[in-house]
Order: sequence, then C-alpha cells, then structure tokens
Amino acid sequence: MKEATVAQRYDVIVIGTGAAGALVAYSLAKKKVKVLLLEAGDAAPDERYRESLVRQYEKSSSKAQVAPYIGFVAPQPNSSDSPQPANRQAGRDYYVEKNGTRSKLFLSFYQRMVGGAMWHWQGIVIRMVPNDFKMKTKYGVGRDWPIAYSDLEPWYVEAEHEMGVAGDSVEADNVHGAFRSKAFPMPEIPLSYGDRLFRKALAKTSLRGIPIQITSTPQARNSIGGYDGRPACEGYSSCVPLCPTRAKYESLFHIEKALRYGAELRAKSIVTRLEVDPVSGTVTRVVYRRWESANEESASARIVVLAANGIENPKLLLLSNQQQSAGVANSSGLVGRFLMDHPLKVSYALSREPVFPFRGPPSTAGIESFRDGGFRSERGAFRTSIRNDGWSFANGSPRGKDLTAGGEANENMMLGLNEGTLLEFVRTDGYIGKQLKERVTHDMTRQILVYSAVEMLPDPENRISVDWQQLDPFGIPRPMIQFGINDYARKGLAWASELHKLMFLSMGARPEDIRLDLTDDPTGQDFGSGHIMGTTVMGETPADSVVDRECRAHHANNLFILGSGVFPTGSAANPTLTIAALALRAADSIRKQLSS
Amino acid sequence: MNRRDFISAAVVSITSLNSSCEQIALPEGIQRDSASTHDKSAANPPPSVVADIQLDEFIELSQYLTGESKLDAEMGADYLQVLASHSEFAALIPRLMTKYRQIRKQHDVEAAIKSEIMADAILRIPAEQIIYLWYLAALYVSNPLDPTNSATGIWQYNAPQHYKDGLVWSVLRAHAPMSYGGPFGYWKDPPK
Repeated sequence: MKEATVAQRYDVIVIGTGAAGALVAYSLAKKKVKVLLLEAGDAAPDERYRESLVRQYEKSSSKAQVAPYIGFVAPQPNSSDSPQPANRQAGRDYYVEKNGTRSKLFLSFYQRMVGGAMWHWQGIVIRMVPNDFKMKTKYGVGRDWPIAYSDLEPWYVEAEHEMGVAGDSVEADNVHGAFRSKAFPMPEIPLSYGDRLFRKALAKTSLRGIPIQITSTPQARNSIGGYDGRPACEGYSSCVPLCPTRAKYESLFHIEKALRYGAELRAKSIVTRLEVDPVSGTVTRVVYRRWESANEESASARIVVLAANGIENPKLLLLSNQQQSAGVANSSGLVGRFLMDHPLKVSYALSREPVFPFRGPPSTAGIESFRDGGFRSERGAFRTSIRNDGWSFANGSPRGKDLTAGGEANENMMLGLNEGTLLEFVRTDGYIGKQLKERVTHDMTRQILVYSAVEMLPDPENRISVDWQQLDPFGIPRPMIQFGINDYARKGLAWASELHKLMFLSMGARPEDIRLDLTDDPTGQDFGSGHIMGTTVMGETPADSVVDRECRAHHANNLFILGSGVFPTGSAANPTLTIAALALRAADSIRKQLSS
Repeated sequence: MNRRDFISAAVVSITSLNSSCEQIALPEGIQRDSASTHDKSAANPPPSVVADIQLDEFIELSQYLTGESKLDAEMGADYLQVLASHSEFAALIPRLMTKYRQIRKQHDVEAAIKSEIMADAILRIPAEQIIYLWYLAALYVSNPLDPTNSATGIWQYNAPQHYKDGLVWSVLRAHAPMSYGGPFGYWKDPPK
C-alpha cells in the first residue's frame, strides 16, 4: 500500500531557525552531517537591500517589532500591525493568559520565520558571569547549572567569532570574574555623544557602595566593513525591528551558510508533534504540516534538535502526548516550568545639555556594575542600558505612542502618556510654528532614557502549558502562560530605580523633568526584554531537570533541546550569546553521538 | 467547533481564496499588513475639493503651522491629496483654507492662526494634521476600535514615500529610523 506521506532519513532534524537552530545546523552541515531544518514561518524577501521589508515598515502604522514581517510569520504573539482590542494585546492574540497587571503578564515576544527573532533583536552580546552558574551554592537562591563559566568560555569565544562581535576587550575582560581567553573579533562600536556625557557626569559615583562604571556594550554589529562579507554599521537606528544593510548579525546568515554546506530547509512547515517509542523514549518521527495543506507530513532522523524558543519548545513537547501522556521528555514534570524573563524598569528625563539622540544604534553603552554581588542573596542583579533614541522606547517619541497595536497591556495606569512628543506639543499644549520648532529643538535633543533588565528567580509556578481548547489559525493548541514577577525581582527593580535617579540628577536634570516610573506600580515590570528562559531546565538529575549538561533530553536520548529554555537561572545578561555558545557546544556533542 | 472542523473550514477558505489572490492564501488569522484596510482614502478624491485649493496657499499655511520656511511643493501636493481624500478630514480642508485666506494678510499671521484656527474646535482638526504630515509624514486618526476616545489613535502613513523626509528629523539633526544615518561612528559627535 502506498504511504500517504513521505518519510526520509536524515542524520539530524533541526526544528527552528533562530539563534540556536541556525548555528547548530551550520556547525553540523559543515562537517557533512545531513541536516533537515524545519521552520514554521516563511522566508522574508531579502533582495535589493531588503527593499520590500523596508517599504512595509515605512507604511506600517505601529512600527512595532513585527511590522516588516507581517505575512511571513507563523502564528505568534503580536502577529498583526492593526489595532487590537485590549484582550488581544501584549501577545494575547496568541498567548492564552488571564487579564492582569503588567507584572502578571508575560511581555516578551518573538518571530516565527526563517531566521527567527534574530531579525529584530537589538544585537547585544553579553557573557554571563561565573556566579550566574552557581546561584544556589553562592547565594542560597535559585539553582546551580551543571556546568561552570569555564566550561562555556571557549564556546563564548567561538560564538563571538561566528556572530562577529564588536567590543572593548580590555574593558570586558574579567567583568565580575568573567575572564576572556581571546579578544573580540572586532573593536568596539563607538560610544555615542550622549554616552560620553553620562560617563563624565558619573565619574567617581557609587550607589550603595558599588562604583558605577559606564562601559561600551559588546554588540553583534560590524565595526569593520567586510567582516563576514558585511558592511560596517552606518547607524540606521532601526536595529529593532530591522537592519537594512545586514551590518547587524542575524541567524539568517548561518542558515545561508548551512544551506551552502548542504543542509535542507523546509519553511512554512509547522511541527505539530514528535512521536516517540514509549519504552525507550527515542524520538521516531517528526510530524509537521505545511501552511497550504492540512495533510500531515513527517520526517525521521537519528537525532532531533528542538530549537524553536523557550515557549515553542515546551509547547511542542507537551502537545506530543500521544505515546507519553505527560508529553515528550517530561518525566520530571518540569517541561514548561521556571519561565523567566528580564523585567525592565524604564525611566526618562531631560538632561541639562543636549545629547542629540535618534542617532546611531539604540544603545552603545551600559552599566555592568550591578550584575553580581553579595546582594544577590536577597535581590535581583541587573544590567542597565543607556539608550540613544530619546524617549522613543517609552512613549514613541518623537511622534507619540500608538497605543493600539501589539505589545500594550493597559491594566496598569500609564503615567505621563505622550510626554515630550509631537502629540503633546501640538494636541495638548497647542504649539505651532516657530514656537513648535523651537520646542522640538530644545526639548527633544535633551531626551535621555535608561532601562535596567532585572534578574528573576526560577519559580515552578511560572510556566507555559497548552490550552487544548484555544487553537491558533492552523488548528494547533495555543500556549497558556501563568507568570508573575517575584519579590526578588521587585527588589532589583527598586534598586534600578535608585540608579536611574542618580544618573539623571548627575546629568543635570531638574527633578520636575524626571520620570522615574512609567506606571503606577514603581517596582513592577514596565516591559519584557524578549528573553524567554527556564522552561526546559538543564540539570544533572533526571528527576529534577529536562536536559543534561550537553542539552540532551534526559528521557529521550536522541533529542537535544537548545535555546534559553535550558537556563537554570536567568542572570542579568542578555541570553543570545549564551544560547549561541551552548548551541555550538551541543553541535559538538551531537557529532560525537552520531559517530559513536 | 472541534479541531477537525476548524482545519476543514480553514482548508475550504484557502481553496476559495486561491483563485482570487496573487499571493499564497493563508488560513484566517494569518494577516498581511492591514494598516491599509483602515485607510479611508477614496480611489479618486472628489475633484472639487482639490481643484478649489491653491497649492501655494496650502504651502504658505503649512509654513506658518510648521515654523519651517523651506517646504517642498511636490510633497505639499502629495499631502494635500492625502487630506483631500481622507473621509475624516476632506470636508474640513476647504473651510480651513477659507479661514486662512481671511487672515493671511494680517500683521501677525501666526498669532491669528493661533486665535482663529487652533482655538477653533473644528478648524484645529485639519490644521493639526497638516503639522503631523510635514513633521512625520503621517496622519493621526481615530482608532477604529475606540473611535470616540481621543486619548488613543493610530498613525497612518498614506504617503510613505515621504517617511524619511519628516521635518522632525531635520530639526533634530538626526534621521528617520530605517534610513541612512551617516558614516560609521558618526554618532560619537554632536551633529554639525
């Protein structure tokens, strides 16, 4: 009898083409491993300097993260550029989540398309610090990783080389003990004019005994024209959502390389379940469907890699409950649990002197001083960024916020709506003509904004599961999220607020020109960071973790799970570089397993 | 509806769309950029609205409203077209221009605009939009989901070819995001 679907043999199937999937596929394909990449979303048109994506952005009403990519993404949070009713905002067109205050909502999102969220990421590449890996031992909170910083260090080096990272190697060496065995491949992206003013203003300043140091932000954007055949950054200031010139690193580049090395890519192919042998737990088949057809197709391989991000990975494991009722690789019961983000505290002010914002990358300097310390036994660490784009991040300056399209959660009162924007100057204050022009010149050139990304502790009650009743447009059950920031993070957010105030006063801001709090919850979450961590936790013991130290599922020995879902702790570092390092390291383990 | 019915319905809608769409048809809920579906522009504006308005008068008023003396005539023609074909503002433009004609010979035109146009509940509406068009290349229109709430609106780029040329960027000596900023490292110094 002829089979309705085609099953082929591959060495490795990689599900997802973002930060982890692209690197593991490239790394394996380069060594002649036969790789099949399955991507739920479509490929965006890249021709002629990404012209059609730029055009779509220019036309876009919201100018939000997803704006250039409408039509290319698979079902995901905030998939639309059109106004959404309140109950479909903040990702709830896809996440199933109760209405709640901002601090009880998961406010991070992603793109399901070839190249993933790495199209719209900001490009900050920070290493974790040694104590991030041993929070339990050192501070008595959280969990320990089964690996140490020193285990990952060589892979950080390789990841920085593969992505192309520009940074100040001297400044970045030994940040809280994170030693560097190699320099960055490229010199740092220059600090902005505003950064330099901050640096001068905060020289010799401390907060609670910790000296504040403003340092150049290591970022995956070319400071050297020609690195990996791509141009140097020319400051289009649109990294989020799109770099028109490819100066910013994207996973797409490693997908392209993987394809050149012989990997196969099937886009618009949504994996709907993994089938396993119920006894051994081995993954036997990956079942998927295409956008255009509801027919099931499938593929098999010796090893399967889940790299679809910290929401989609556990969702798929839980959906795959046909042979094992708790889902695949879930004997621990921990799949989907320990969901963490980096809640942001955002503050802004008018500096005394103009800083001339809206020029250059969104952030070129930050403060690493509070990323570790004895205080972590009681409160979250944090990393502070200085922004170069005025108050844009908070309220859509200079135009004023479009409150209706994706990402807004309005259950907390927003303070200072549209402050310092054209909407306020014209509509509220009635400025026109020369007066208006002068006000724009005077006020907007002084707009400064900082935010701090704060560490959360892993909490098993923060979790993603599956809602079998609420389906996405392809008939697939949507992820259900239960989330809330904890007291540990709130205490970190409170300290961040103190730092923000100190920074603004040092820049000569008048108290009446400082807005420390964006909402009526001063120690709450203002925004998410786009960092989705914890949901397929790494550990030594199969009973209390999902993957082992090599990212191999404990209970499915031919399944590797990558991405920030494996992080036992969130740290205060942006996760992408750690995702990349772990992916390259896992590729090594996969290769060894294939040849044994 | 159970899962199977939903998939069948989705398949039916795909096959019926296939014949009429150039692009691959998608199940309901996968949207293309639909900001344009909120664009209330008529395909052809009523000829009387645009023909009665002198472009140079419109540019002159725009100069007073924006505080910028050098305004591009072609851009002005495009913006006038945008307003004249927008159902929220089309009828108000002739009234605005009539009032402007009355006050443009006054000694302090900007003051007269403030007291007789910006202070007028009706006339200020199109005047405000003219400022947004020149500064941002966008209109700020009512939110179709919440049309009576003046605190929420959406930006509408009906002349997106001018997005990069918004006045706000030159006044700030910066550039529109997604457009060229300058050579590598230009951001380390104040603008010239």
